[in-house]
Amino acid sequence: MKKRISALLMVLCMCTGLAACAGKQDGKKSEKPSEDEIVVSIATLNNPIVSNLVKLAQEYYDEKGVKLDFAVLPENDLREKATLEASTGGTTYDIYFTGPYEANFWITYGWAENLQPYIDKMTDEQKESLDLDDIFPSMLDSLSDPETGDVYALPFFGEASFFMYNKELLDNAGVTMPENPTWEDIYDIAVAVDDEEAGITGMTMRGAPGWGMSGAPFVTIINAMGGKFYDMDWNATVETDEQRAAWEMYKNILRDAGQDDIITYTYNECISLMNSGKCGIWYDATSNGPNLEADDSLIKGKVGYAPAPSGWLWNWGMNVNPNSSDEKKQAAFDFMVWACSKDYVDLSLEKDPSGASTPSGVRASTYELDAYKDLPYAQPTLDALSDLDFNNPCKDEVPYVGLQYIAIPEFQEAGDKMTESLAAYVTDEITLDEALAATQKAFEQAAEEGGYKK
Amino acid sequence: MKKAVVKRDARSRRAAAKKEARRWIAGIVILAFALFYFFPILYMILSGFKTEADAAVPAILFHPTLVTWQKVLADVSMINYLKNTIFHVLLGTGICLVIGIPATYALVFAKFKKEGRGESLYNWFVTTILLPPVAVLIPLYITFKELNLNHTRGGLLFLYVGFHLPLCIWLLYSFFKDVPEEVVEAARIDGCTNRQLIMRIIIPLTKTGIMTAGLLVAVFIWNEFFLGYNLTTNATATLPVYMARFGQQQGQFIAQLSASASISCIPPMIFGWISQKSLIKGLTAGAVKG
Amino acid sequence: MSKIARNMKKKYPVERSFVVPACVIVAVATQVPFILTIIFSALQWNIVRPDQGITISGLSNFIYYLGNPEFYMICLQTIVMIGAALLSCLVFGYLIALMLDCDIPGKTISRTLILSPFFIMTTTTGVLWKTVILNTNFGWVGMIADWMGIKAVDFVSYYARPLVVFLFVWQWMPFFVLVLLGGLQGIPGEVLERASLDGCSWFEMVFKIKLPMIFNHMQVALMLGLIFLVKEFGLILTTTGGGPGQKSYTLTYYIYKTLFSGSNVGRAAALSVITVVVTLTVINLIFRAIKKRRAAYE
Repeated sequence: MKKRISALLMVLCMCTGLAACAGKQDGKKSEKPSEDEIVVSIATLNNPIVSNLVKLAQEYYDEKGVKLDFAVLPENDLREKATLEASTGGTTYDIYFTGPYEANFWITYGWAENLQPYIDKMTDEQKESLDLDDIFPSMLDSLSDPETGDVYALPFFGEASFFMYNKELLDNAGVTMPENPTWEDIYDIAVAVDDEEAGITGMTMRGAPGWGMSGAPFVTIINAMGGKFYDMDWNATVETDEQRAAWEMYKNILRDAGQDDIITYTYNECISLMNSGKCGIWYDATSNGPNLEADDSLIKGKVGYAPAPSGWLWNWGMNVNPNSSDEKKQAAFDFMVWACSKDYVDLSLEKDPSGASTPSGVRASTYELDAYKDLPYAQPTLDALSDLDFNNPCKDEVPYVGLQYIAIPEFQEAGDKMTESLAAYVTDEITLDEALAATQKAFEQAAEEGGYKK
Repeated sequence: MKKAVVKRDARSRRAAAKKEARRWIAGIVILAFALFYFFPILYMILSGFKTEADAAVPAILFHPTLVTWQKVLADVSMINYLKNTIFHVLLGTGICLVIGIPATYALVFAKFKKEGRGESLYNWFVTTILLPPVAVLIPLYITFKELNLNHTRGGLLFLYVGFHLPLCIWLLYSFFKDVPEEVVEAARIDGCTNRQLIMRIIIPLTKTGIMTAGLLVAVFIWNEFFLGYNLTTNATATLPVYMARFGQQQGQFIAQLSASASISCIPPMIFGWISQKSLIKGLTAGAVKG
Repeated sequence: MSKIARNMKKKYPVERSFVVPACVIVAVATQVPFILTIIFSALQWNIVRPDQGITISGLSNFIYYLGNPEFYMICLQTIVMIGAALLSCLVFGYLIALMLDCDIPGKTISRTLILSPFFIMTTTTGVLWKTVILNTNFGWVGMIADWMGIKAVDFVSYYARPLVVFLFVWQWMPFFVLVLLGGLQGIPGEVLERASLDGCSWFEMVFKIKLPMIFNHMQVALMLGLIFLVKEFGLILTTTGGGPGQKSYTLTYYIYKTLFSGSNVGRAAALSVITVVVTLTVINLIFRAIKKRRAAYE
């Protein structure tokens, strides 16, 4: 008997000890800040524009009793964590940075808070500074419920894609960028500019696997070359000549004229490479353009822009976790209004006149500001944003929407597998036939398991 | 006669010199290899004292500066990660030992009702070492979410104890086996209670083993990544998580990266250096009878 | 045993119950979740499709993998990569332990330096090698290639598997040295003396005398090495990310991807169960093989 009791006691001691540790931890946290301070946790990505938001928010966002806690995650990490958290109803974060891809099914499944009630309750001051009518309708629509029109996330910055090129290097190589280049043109220019001996790379693109990484430029190449992923009956159509051509194009560009560590490149590495003045062309998001004009860039003022044959459309918006407490939700919404407002655009432009850290691609008014409209990338960005059709991504009719992705939850896995095959194909680990077969299988499986295929 | 002795002397001296030379060559060869092996770490520590511009070019000679270190140490989030890791290492190792020592003591010396129950319990403990954390991630994730444990350090601490106790017991077991049964018997006849027995006899006799177990557990907890990565929030995450995100988060800041990496690996390395002799002894004992 | 002694013993028996807290904690932290994992493995549960619901699907998750060539490829690849790493660790670890066991100048410092990588966290190892050493622009590989006038090799992209094996070895060989050195130091001096008096050559000494005497140590090093390499995740995540393609996936990484990228709880759980079973089987096989070898020697 005695033994049992002593054992029990030990277990108890241990548990209380543990609880005490945990409790102490909690206690310490709530003690330090003033009593009813609300901590709003924000899961966000490591993009230059967002990094600037983190910095400015900590300096200038001054709402009594609210403390902001940013988790800056790599893009792939953010997606994985956010999806798992949202689907299991976690409360680790109060605000998630998500895009139209997530919005599609997050709204359906109730993983994002309906912001309409909050928007209706806004103060006049908030209303004026947020000014929803000023936001491009396409951006707001992609984050709203298509049936009721209720807004579920506020867009922070938006992007399309275009070519950015180093005019000097192109001149040196004796080539010019046509007004509306095709991918074949781009390949020729890239190869002409590439000069291994001088250490000059012809062209760079994201190469790191992940549907939001190398997947983004790659799928738009497929779209541009007439490929598609499904026919109208949801049969996967990866093993086709159009797709084959696109896969070859991507590989040829990067192998014949691309960066060295192809499959480790995310946009951050691309920025470094371009800014060092040793790379001819970069195909990426319009929101990255401003980085090339930043003060520490060696190619400031030497950058030309050209529209993509078929671009992508994306925006990073903020939505509120429906499982957070009401207090936190309101505090989170107030912060979002601040961050997505016109005033924030002004503030960021004031702090960094180069525009490199100003949220772009969301508001018409940004492109009318004196301080912004003459920046070299402003007009090309506006053009790129305007000629995209989110609902008709391909030349043929397809059953899905989305430009650089397919708006079904299963695309995350299929798209990741596709980019993994792509990386293996680019580095000659597998042949094109193997890569296409694997991708075909992944998309076929997605359509079947998702229940789209009849 | 004398000549012969001298000759033999000279010959043996020459042989000795040759042997000596061989020793030195061997020493230099292995030292060179060791330096080569250690080089990435060495270079990382050095790079922490470079400016970002210097760090972009691999070189060993440079002007050392503390600028980067100041930047890193001023980074509040980094300090927070470090604090969390220290919390887990100290408490986790402590609890592992406090629970592990009596448990091993019972496993070794207690008479179980069924013959061999102790043995099979011990085997059960050892097999749990095999379990990859990824195999239990989903249930843990859901539990943590339900109980809101990822907002606290306690939850992860509990898991660390649970996952490292078997290792601790495995290492302690053979040392405890080495304690002669007669000593324990005699002490008991003298009227020692169990607590006294553990404190006065077992612990002093198995110091090396306890040191080894404690150190290894501390190093493993310090370096644990997977659970820390998936079951924490920003406020409760540990150093390895910070390191994993660093590369992508901060762009290509090699000097900063090096300084942070130095913080992440110097403490366990010093641990290891100090304790290498007892580790060798401890692991060996574990090997022979384990 | 005298009566008094027996009485005393009855009064203060060794507490069996001391083992209870440890059992409870270990069971709660590792066994209960694993049982849940086994239950999950029989479910059809995709967390990004709550509209499809959670249904019992029996063995279909297991059948999915058994009929999937991708699974066999990754399984084989895991075994080959870990096997190659362990074998290299064993061979090089033994050779280095032999050298460090001799009476040579500076052996303490050499030993200290060689042991260091073992104490470094795997994510640091990964980030360190990837950016500081292997980067073709800013790393030593780029510099050395420049200096030799050749094009830098991008190891992460083109030699992912050997790279992962190499990093496994870099990190775990010190552990092997540690254990084997302990074994070598434990060999009684008179055995070696007699052997050298018998005119044993160096080769015979190393492989016929010393090697059999530290079999136990090798077994322990192999076992622990295997266990921890199977669990290894941070190193792959921070260097190759499993790529290119799935060329450097291990089972652990595969589970992670199935869970986070595929969001498929049922399949990830099934894969976890398979991984545990495969690991246990392999360890058992190693155990048996070693026992047989040892029996043959003795």
